[in-house]
Amino acid sequence: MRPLALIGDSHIGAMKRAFDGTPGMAGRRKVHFHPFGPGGEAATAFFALSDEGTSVTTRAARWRNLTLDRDSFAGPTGQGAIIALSLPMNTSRVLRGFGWDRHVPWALRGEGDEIPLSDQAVLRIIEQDCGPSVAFARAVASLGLDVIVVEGPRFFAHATYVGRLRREVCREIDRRYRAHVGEALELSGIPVLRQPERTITPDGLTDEAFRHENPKDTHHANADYGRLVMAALIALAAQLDAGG
Amino acid sequence: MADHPYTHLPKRAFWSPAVAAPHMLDISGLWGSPFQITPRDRIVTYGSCFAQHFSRALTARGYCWHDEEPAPEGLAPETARLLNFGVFSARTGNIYTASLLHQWVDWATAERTPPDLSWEQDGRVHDPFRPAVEPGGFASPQEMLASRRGTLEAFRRSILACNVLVFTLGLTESWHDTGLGVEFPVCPGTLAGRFDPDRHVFRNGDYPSVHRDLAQAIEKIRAARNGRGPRVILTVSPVPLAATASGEHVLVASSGSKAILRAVAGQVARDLKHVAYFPSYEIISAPPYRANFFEPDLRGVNRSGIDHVMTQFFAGLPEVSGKTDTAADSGPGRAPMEAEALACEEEILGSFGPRP
Repeated sequence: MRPLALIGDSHIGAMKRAFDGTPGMAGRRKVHFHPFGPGGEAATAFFALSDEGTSVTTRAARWRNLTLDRDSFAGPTGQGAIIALSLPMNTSRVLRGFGWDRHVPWALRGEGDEIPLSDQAVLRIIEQDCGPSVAFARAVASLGLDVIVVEGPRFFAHATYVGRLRREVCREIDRRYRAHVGEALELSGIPVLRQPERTITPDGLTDEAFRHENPKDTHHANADYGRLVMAALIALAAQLDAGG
Repeated sequence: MADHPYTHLPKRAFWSPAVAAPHMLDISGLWGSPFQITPRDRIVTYGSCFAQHFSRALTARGYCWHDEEPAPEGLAPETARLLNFGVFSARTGNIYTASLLHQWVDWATAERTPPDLSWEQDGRVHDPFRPAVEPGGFASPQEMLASRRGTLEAFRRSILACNVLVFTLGLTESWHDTGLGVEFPVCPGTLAGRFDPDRHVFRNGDYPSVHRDLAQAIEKIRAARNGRGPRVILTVSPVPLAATASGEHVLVASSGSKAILRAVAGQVARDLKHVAYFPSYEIISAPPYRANFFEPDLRGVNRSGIDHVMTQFFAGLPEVSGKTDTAADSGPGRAPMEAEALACEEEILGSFGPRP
């Protein structure tokens, strides 16, 4: 049974709280958490692969940086850890950062001065945002570690950063982003742990029942959400241990 | 010595002291704008490829170059450039001729409607009126038409709301679809599309037609604004023709085209109020500069040439004070990102920090 290390953006907070609040959740599996810091840094050139290709080091200005190699978080008998990464599939960056109140995918253009963006332009925006974190996932996998990417929660209806945006535009960008990152990771053989179905509303948002315990936090999910993700993650880790 | 009209002319009126004697970079007083342009004026730029240098220079000098169809905020500059954002004040692509400007103005003022025409090339769709604006083309005619509608509306807003329009004339040669009665910026079949000799015809604008198109385009813009502006600066691209379909040698054809454009621009500036001519063409191409401002292909204008043109441009503007620093405008969107970073830090502190 290999150790499991959850690393990445602030969304692993919900999993940490769930883990802390649910003794025995992981059975005998050793679980580590290493939060980097704000996910916004993930759209920058935030890591470097060593010349020998044996380690990956993050170097973001506001992060708790980390160097990973084959032995990072390894078990007592030297079993390499499974790395669960929450970073590449976080759409809050792309929804906040590109002015979707004025620019919209061409098919969704409404009245007024909205600027229609071609599919190519939207894809380039998505690639710009997810590129470094997808590359990071691949770099970590290249060390010989098993990597699972943990999908971040879809935005909440009450999220402040989507308040001024048209909901259908946000949903479309969110959908395309997740599809693109999913394809990119699949091509690299990196599995994605999807957001639990029961936490997603019919219109593609995260159910308000899973909003953060702090009402002022409109972005992160709560420990109930974290519990569902952790359960699925531990099950997936067991599959990987079994060679699945 | 008898008094005569040349007696009291300034030094700049005489070739020897104004051109032959000074170093070429010290030749000065080449133009003077007849009207004020302040940093508060909303300036829009269109025209041939040389026009894009105005937008950069205006922005760099703290003037208000207005982009009505800007790139999404946060998009990497190189990607924005690749997608042809920020080149002109809307993503029109190059408007090489006066007649093409006239066509865009007619479309913008609803005097005519652009046809739903598209060009296919290697499974992708190109806009015949902006064939290079989307690298690799669009995925479908619907996408292309939606993009064109957005650009046309942005073009309309820009010409109706600007204080100053800078238009750079590039060519007299153009290609037309006789069936649809439209002009293309490039010959069908070159960048995309398929050339059809039965409907695609070559026209080389002469002085009367170029003058008519340019003057009418300006007058229609002003009419759409009920006569309230804009001020207009005309200039002629010094970039020679890459190719000619006129049957002449390209050097001769290029000289002929530029001569017509230069003459028309000057005449329109004399004919219409609040229209000025700025001599980009002369500053790069005139003999005193000995082709120093051209790239080795003797066509492209090098960085020194562009800098010199823009230095002369600003030198000819009436002195103003109180320029604003547009670079200091961080734009919208940054604040939410900062707030998000803080929220994420709080989430991490809350989940991983010391417990009470």
